[in-house]
Amino acid sequence: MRANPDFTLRQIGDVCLIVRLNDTIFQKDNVITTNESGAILWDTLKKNCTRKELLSSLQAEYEVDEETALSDIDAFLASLKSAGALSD
Amino acid sequence: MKPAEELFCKLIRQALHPGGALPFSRAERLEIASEINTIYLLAREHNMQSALYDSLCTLKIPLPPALQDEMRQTVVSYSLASYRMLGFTRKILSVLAEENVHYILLKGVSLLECYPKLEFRGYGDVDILIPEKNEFEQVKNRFLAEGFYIKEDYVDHQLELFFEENGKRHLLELHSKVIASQEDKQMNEAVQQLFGSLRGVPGSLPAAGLCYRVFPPTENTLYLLLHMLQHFLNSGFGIKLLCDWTVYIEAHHEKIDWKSYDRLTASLGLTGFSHAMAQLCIRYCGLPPEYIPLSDAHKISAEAQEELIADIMKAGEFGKNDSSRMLIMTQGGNLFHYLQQLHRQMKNRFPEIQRIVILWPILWLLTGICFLWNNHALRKTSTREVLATTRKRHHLIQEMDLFQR
Repeated sequence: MRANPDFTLRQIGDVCLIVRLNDTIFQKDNVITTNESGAILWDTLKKNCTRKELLSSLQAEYEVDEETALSDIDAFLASLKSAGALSD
Repeated sequence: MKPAEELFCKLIRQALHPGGALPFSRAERLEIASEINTIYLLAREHNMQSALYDSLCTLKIPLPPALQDEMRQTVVSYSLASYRMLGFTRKILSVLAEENVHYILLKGVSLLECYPKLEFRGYGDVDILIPEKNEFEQVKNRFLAEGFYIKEDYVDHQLELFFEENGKRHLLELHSKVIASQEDKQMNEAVQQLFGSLRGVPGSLPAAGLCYRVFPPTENTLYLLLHMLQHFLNSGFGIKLLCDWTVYIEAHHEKIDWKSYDRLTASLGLTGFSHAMAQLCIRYCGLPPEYIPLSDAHKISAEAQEELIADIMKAGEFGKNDSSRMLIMTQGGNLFHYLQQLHRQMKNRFPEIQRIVILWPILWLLTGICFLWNNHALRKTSTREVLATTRKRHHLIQEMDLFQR
C-alpha cells in the first residue's frame, strides 16, 4: 500500500494535516489530523510498503510495543482510507 | 515596546526564517514561558497564531497543557480555513480564465508562496483587481450568475461579492482601483495611471496547483506599500502586513528594480514612508538589510521606529483594537486641517449622499456628532485622547515627509 500522491502532509509545529490541496470544493472529511508519529507513517507510505515496514519505522523512533503500535497503525490506515488518502 | 511584544516579534521573526538559527537566551526562553498568555493574545490580535505555534514548537518552549491544546485546535481550524479559501480561489480563477479578462490577484493568496508555510498567513477573502470598466461589469455579472450575491453597493474602489458553500460564506472583493482614494489627489491620479494599465505577470502557488496573474515585482512591492499606507491613514494595521512585505521582498529582491521603485515612491511622496516600513521590517521582522537599499537621508529615527511599531502592535490585524485612533492628518495640524479631516470623514461616512453638495452642512454636523458619540459610547475614550493621538501621529507623518515631493 502507499500514500495517494494527490495528498500532501502539512506540518505546523507538532500539528500534522494530511490534505488534498488541489480540490476546488474543499471537503473537511478529506483531511486527516495527526501528529508526529502519523507524519513518520505517512513518510514511509510514500513508497510502496507493508504493514510490517510501517511497524519498523514507528519502532525506530519510539519505544512502543508491537501490539500498541499495530493498533495505532491500523487506526491511522483506516482514517487514510476513509479520506481517500491511501492508494492500493 | 513591552517585553511580551518584543518576544512576540522575535518569535514571528523565527517563524519567517526557519533556516536561520535565531539565538534565544535561557532568560528569553524563561520569559516566553512566563509571558506566554500575553504573547498568545498578541498572536490572536494579529492573526499570527500558526506562525507563533510553529516557532514555539521549534524552540521546544514548554506550554501549559490547556493552552497547548487550544493552540493546536486553533492551528487546525485556521489551516482548514486556509485550504477552504484555496478551493474558493481556484473557483474564482477558473471563472476569470473563462471570461478571458485582464485581472490581477492582489495580496492575500498571492503572498502565500513567499511564506515558509502557507498556513502562516491567514486570509479571509480574495482580492481581484479589474481596472477596465467593461470587463469589471462583465465579471461582476458572471459571478452573480454563478450564485454570488451582493449585500452593499459598490463603494469607492471595491465591490464585495459573497458566496456560500457547504455552510461557509466566502468573500470576493472586486477592485476597480488598487487603493481607495486618498487625500492627496496627485497621488491618486499617479497611482491610477501607474497601475490602471499595468499588465500582470504569471504567479503561482505550486503546493496548491494555482496559477494566476500578479503585478511585476517592482510594482507589487509598491502596491504592498500602498496597501500599508491605506491602512496606516485609516484604522491602522498589524504585524501581518509588515510580515507580508518582508517575505515578499526576501522572495523577489533580485527581481525588484530598486532604482525604478525609488523613482516611483519619490514621485508619490512616499520615500520616507517606504524607508520607515523597511526599517521596521529589518529591525522587527528580520528582513536582511542588504535586500533593500536605503538612503541615510530618508531614514527615520530610532524613536520614530519605536513609536510606529508601538502603533502597529496596538492596532491589531487591521486596526480594530485601537479605540483612540480615529484621525490621521497628513497636511498639517491647525484648525483648517481638522476641518479638512471632518470633510473627509463625512465623505467616508456618507459615500452616496455626499454627492449632494447642498446637504454638506447637515452631513458635517452629523459626522461631528457621530464622532463625538462614538468616542464616548463605542470607543470608550475621550475626544481629547483621540485628538492627542492625532497630534502624535501627525509628528510621525512629518518625520516621514509623507506626500512631500
